[in-house]
Amino acid sequence: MKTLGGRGRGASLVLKRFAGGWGVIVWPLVVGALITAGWYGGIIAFAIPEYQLPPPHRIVEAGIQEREVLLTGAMQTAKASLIGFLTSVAGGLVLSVLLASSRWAYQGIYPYVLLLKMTPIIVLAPIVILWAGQGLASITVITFLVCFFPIVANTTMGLRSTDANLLDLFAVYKAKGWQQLLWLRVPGALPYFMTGLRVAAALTPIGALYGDTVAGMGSGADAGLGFVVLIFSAQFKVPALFASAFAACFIGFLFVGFVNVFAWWVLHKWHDAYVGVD
Amino acid sequence: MTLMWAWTSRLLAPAALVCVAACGPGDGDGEGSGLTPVVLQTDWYPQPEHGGYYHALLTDGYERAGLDVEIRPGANMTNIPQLVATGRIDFALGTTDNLLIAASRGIPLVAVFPHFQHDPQCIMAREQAGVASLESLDGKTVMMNPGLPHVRFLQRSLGIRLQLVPMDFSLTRFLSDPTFIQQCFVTSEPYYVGQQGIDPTVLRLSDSGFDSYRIAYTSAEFVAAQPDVVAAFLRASRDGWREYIDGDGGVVHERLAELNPQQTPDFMAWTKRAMTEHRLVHGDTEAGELLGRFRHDRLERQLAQLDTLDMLDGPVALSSAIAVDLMPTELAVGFPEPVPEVVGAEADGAVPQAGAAGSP
Repeated sequence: MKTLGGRGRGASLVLKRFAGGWGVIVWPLVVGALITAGWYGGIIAFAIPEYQLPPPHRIVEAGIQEREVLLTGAMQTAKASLIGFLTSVAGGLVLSVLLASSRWAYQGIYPYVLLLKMTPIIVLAPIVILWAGQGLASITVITFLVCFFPIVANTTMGLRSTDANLLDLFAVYKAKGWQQLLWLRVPGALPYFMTGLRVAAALTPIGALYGDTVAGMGSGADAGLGFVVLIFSAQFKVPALFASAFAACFIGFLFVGFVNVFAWWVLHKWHDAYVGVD
Repeated sequence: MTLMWAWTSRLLAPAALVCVAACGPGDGDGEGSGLTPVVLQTDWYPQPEHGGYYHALLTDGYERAGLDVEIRPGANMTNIPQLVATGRIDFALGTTDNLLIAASRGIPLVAVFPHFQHDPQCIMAREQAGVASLESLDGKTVMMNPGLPHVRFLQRSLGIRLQLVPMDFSLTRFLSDPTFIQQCFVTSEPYYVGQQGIDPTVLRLSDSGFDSYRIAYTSAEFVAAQPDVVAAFLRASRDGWREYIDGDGGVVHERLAELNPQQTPDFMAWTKRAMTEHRLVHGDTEAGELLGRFRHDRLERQLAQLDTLDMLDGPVALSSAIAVDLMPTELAVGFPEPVPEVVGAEADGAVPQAGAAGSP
């Protein structure tokens, strides 16, 4: 668990290494080495059997041994993640603009968005499968449902929190509704949107993996990562199970890393949180 | 460790989290009464397929054997073998194929008592699905637990190409789609499907040639530390199963209805009949099967099959994976003689050959 956190910090900081300094690379490595040492130490000190906690080198071995299954699984899951993520971004943006466009739309529709959010995905999944069928379609819908809300909630909040003085200014210059939206509300909402995007990116692999375990499909060797996890788990391949956990983490980091770079690219010219960073 | 599992389970099924929190060591209810407290973790909600264990509990069979048994239900928990191996649970229910796979991966488990001579796992299909035999599943989409060793056997050893869909343990899709094919228990789902006026084709997976016992097992450590407790559990469970399956099941079904109100008396009576008709408990006595009996040749064959399927990480000694030493002699057929005699006979190679000895 700790290692996952440690690597997380490492990866996201490496992406920001333009922030300067060797510390961002050295310290994560030091902490990683300490965790690994503690990991081995714990196994030796408490005689922990492999089926409880495999040593890191066994996980690497299992990862190499099962590389084909893990790689195809990761590709499948990444595909479902990407489609689910992009559709939720697109759908989330459209709905947010709609929600922010008028008071009645917000008051009328938002409670139902909340309702959808409050319904646990475990309950929704069987219904989704019943409608969309087994396979990629259902998995992406499940991923979509998991990612959708953080984007809608944050973006809507951003679109609705425009500075009243600036709105007055636009009114004074007789800006049209679309001009106000495009040149004032949307830029102002961008930081909020990015926050939603970050949360959604971190949730994406969870949605896709869960989708896999219920809606996945395959002959056992060509299925997504969640499906692979089911098989490893049922067959007590504990080191392989850990290896698939790292594979899933890796997908998560790809998404979060991509979003972080994207957010920096969009915001670094003007937003307070980024100005001065580079 | 718990955290590790909690983390993986979070991706799989949040229900497993509850289990990790709940599966602490036994509460020690029996302390002071002179009884040894043990925990039996089942593989599903309380149901007639666990009937013999409940019978032994409810008719004080375990108590007379000096045991204070707590039966814990559980569904879809994938980490039970690990919990048994680490001693957090004393006994659990499973199958010999999984036990042997676990043993080969260094999870030291020991089969104690086979309550079913054959696994009731089946494939169920309606007429429209065009499935008349296991072979005709070739190229079809089947809802099945993908981790089931049977799957690999069908695919690799029988060359049946399957498109798998993970098991959701519901009949919704089976009932709405006439061509849907799924895994089931011969003692359970066909009843509910029959209630909807559907008479499904039910193919038993044990007929594929990959034939597991359904068992109660414990850890090697527990066998070594408390052999008397394990032997007492074995005997009381055997009596419980015999009395349950030969009797009317009344006491047990009454209690099961309280524990799991979804099960009607009619359903439980049907399940019990199915267990009898399919000779799951007593087995086919003409073929050398008997309630509670392990046959060495059958286990040896399964071991060889698992090896062929590339599912074993290391060698498995059947004599250490089955609690032979604690079993009444009629229950262990074909196992090599006890150690002292083997030592004496070893010189001229008179050790009984695996799989060859022991016809009934």
